[in-house]
Amino acid sequence: MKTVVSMQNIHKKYQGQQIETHALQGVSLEIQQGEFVAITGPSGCGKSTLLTIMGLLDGASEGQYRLAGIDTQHLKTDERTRIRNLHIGYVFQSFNLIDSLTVFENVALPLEHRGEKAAVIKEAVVEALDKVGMRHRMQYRPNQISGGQQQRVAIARALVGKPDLILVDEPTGNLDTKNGDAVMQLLLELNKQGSTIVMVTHDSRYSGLAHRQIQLLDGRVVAEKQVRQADREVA
Amino acid sequence: MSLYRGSLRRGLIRLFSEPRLSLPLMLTLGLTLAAVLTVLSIAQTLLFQPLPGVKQEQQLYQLDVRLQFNDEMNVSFLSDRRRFAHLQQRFAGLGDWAQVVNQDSQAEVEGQQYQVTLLNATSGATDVIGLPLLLGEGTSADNAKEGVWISASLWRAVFGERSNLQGETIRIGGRDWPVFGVLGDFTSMDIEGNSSLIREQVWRFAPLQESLLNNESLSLGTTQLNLLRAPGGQVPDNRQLEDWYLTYLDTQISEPRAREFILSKPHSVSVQSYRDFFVGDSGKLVSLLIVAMVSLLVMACLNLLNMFIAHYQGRSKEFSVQLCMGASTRRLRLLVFLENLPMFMLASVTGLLGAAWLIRVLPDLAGDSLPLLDKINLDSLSLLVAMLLVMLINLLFASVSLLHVQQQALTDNLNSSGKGTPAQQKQGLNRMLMVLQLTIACTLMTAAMTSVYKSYQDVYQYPGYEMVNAYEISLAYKDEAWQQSLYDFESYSGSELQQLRSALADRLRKLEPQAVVDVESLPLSQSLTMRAYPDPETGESRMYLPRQWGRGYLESFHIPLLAGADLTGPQNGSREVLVDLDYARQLEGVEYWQNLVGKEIKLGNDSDDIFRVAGIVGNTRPVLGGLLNSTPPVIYFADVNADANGSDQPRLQMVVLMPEGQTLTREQLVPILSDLDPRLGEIGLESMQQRWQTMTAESRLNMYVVLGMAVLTLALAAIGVSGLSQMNAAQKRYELAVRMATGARQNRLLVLLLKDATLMLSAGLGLGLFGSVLGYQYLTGLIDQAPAFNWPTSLLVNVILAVTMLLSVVLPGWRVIRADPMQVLREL
Repeated sequence: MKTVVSMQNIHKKYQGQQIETHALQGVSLEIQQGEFVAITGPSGCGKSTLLTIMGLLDGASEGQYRLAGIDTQHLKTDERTRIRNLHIGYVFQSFNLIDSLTVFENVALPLEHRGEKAAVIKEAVVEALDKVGMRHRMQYRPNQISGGQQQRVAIARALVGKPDLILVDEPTGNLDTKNGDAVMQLLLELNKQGSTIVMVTHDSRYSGLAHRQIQLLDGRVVAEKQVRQADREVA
Repeated sequence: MSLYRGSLRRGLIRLFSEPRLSLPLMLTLGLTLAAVLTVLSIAQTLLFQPLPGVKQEQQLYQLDVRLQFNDEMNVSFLSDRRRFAHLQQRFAGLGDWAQVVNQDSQAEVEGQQYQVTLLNATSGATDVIGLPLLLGEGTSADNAKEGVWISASLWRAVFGERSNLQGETIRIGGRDWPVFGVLGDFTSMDIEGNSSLIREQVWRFAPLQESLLNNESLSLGTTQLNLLRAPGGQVPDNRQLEDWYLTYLDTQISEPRAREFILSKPHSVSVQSYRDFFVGDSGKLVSLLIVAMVSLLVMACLNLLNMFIAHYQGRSKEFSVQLCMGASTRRLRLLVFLENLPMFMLASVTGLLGAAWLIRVLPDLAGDSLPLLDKINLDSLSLLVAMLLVMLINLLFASVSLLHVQQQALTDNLNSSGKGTPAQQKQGLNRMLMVLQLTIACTLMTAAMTSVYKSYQDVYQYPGYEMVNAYEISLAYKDEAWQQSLYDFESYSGSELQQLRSALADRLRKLEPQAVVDVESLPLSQSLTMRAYPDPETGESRMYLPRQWGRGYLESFHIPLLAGADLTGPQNGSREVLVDLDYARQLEGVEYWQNLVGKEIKLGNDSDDIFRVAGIVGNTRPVLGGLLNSTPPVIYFADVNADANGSDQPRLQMVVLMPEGQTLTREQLVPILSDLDPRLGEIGLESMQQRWQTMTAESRLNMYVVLGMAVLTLALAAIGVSGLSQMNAAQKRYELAVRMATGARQNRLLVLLLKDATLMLSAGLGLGLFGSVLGYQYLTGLIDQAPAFNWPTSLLVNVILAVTMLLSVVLPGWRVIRADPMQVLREL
């Protein structure tokens, strides 16, 4: 099986005016294609930092990170952007949809930035929206749909470019239980269809649905456990 | 592609949906762009376009030798054609030479009078200039003195472009001249003094070498064209011209006192390309205008940039999402560029329309201060410059507006709650731009307000006499020879001129005026003659302004008699004069000026030049509107001819005071004056009020335009500071609300906002003051007429700016502070 994420001894330091904060202190992990990994831990343990480094939104202070076989350590900004576009889909807790664009246009963004032709974009966007059940709201604007629907659209945007890795940051944090469950169901479906998903959550109900749970504490991996298929189904 | 289309579409929608962004941009950028384009068009016409009517101008040179009498007055030594001919003889091999002198005149064709510019030139002058001959025969030594050539404009006006002018004549100076040909209009001539160059021109030629037969006239005059067309590019250098000048004085001026007098005056020689001569101070003026307008544009851009930064900081998250989805920063800039394109295009259209309008009204705005005004237009180059400028500004805005959207801060932006903290990180840039903007504002406003203050003084300062309901009435002389004889014998008792004036006064009394004052002109004069005489003791040259004094003159215009006789008015030919306070002080000192009464003064070397001072009157300013920087002392003579040479006085003039509220019209004058003498023609009438209006029109307009520029600068600075303050306060809303919720008082919060702004204001105003002092020193070095720097104006500008800026900080901040903290916290 192909290794999508390979992190070795990743450190992340933030230099404040007087103090230095070590958000990550030697994190090493590997994620295989098709896996659903949940990263858990208390607030401030470095979950989101790890996700942003994994998503190439930020760089590590030390350590080696390979994404789909590409060494990301010495990449220039534009190259990181291109790799992010080709290999990564991102789902945020606060959805981060652009209000001035329609649902269709929001979902089309990664393909637009990739320079795909209009016909290809249309086909892919419709397919992605079909997958998340939001095709009928294609011409709506984000502020005209509910929070749950906005998160579905955000998921469609993450998967429309068929990335190697979908990073999900607290996807249910801004949703009620019903909508949260629906979103999780959707992520599971996508994983079943072959998407590799890394999800940051502090909700044990949802972390239990992943194949593997990685627990962080004070910027270090303190526990890693595989979830049995039976437990996943129970959950 | 749809992203780009979408950006353009959003840009179009934003024109209407976000007027707070689109309107200031369209107006601020559009208006400043209009000013910049206008100035660029002027610069292009004056500095780069071929001079109309001048062929191969790079071969054409202007030569001059000038004598400096004082700060106000310098005259040309080459004004005498004999000297120019001598110079030509000395350097004959270098090329073709020509001299042209212009003069306002009147021409008559079939009883119809035309105002014309009479150009007295040496034979072949138009060939030297390169002015095209449109019709008829060329000028030559043979035909030169027999006829005249007219300009195309006069040809159109008088002869309706008729192709056959055989037998046509034009009457000038009491003589009928056959019209030999038609030349192109000559508009590329620098005019100084009181004449003006108009397109209706009459050329008269005389062979240059003939003037060598004349005697040296010892006369000096104002500028004329002393041209040399040197195809080989070889021209006399300054040293050679200087040598010629000294040789001429030694060999050609035999009168030792005259030679000494001329030698006592500092002189300067100049050989310059015709364009440099023609453009003259206008070039410097245009350069300064470019600097001022570009500064204004920079200021406007800084202002708008701050607004754009604020706008795009509010959209940080959107751009971070785009970056996260794989958009490169280059692509984001392009998207922003496209989104702003409709707004910028509209601004450029506004700018072009504004520039077109400004260029159209330019002749009214600039008056005679700029040459070739009618040639200035918006051409394709201006359009290109406008478009390029706007595109560049748009590109710059797109780049700078997105500086805050950094790859490194992506996570912060994506996860931010929108309560302001990430956006505040980049305020250093805003502050720097604001300090720069204040510096420019302070410099521009100081220069503008100094100029406004000077214009105000020029126009509204009390001139030493009252603006009463007075009229200057005039009749044109139709016969030049008769006119000459009138003035030649005018000082004899009972002369024809005295009889004529007496008859004129009698006729005017039929109008039942308050008074008829037997003087040629109103105290407010459009043209002046200045005279100089050597001081009998020191030999130094003293300047004075001769004015005419007649019965009832002082009383009519409320000019105070400070010492001396209670004058009832002198008789013509009297050797008594009145002098003004300045003159008395010059001669007798500041304290004992009264002692001059009864003394004799010597205004020349002849016995005729001795006069007795009958009285001392208050100082007056005969010229308003800044046309004369400082007025020399005035001496009032009894002669009708006092303030002009007889032959230069083209009209018979007299002053009438009408009762208050009563208007005098030309129609009232015609029946009583038309049969005064058949040798008198057209009747002229001008009120003192009209003259004040005309004379001060340019200064008043300049004052309002410059004041407008100062107000615009202040408004731009205020909008900028207020925008930044609003943005500041808005970004601190959460912080302020939390502080309020935890018990901070409103005045403490205001101090918090002010503390931040005060530092920025101090830096901007301090730098501005420094910049304005330095900039003004440079300006006064560059332009002689620039008013002197004055500290009170500069400090006043700083106070106005400081108060306006503080208000611009306090008002938006106060609005935020006054809000209910709990509501703010709920909203955020």
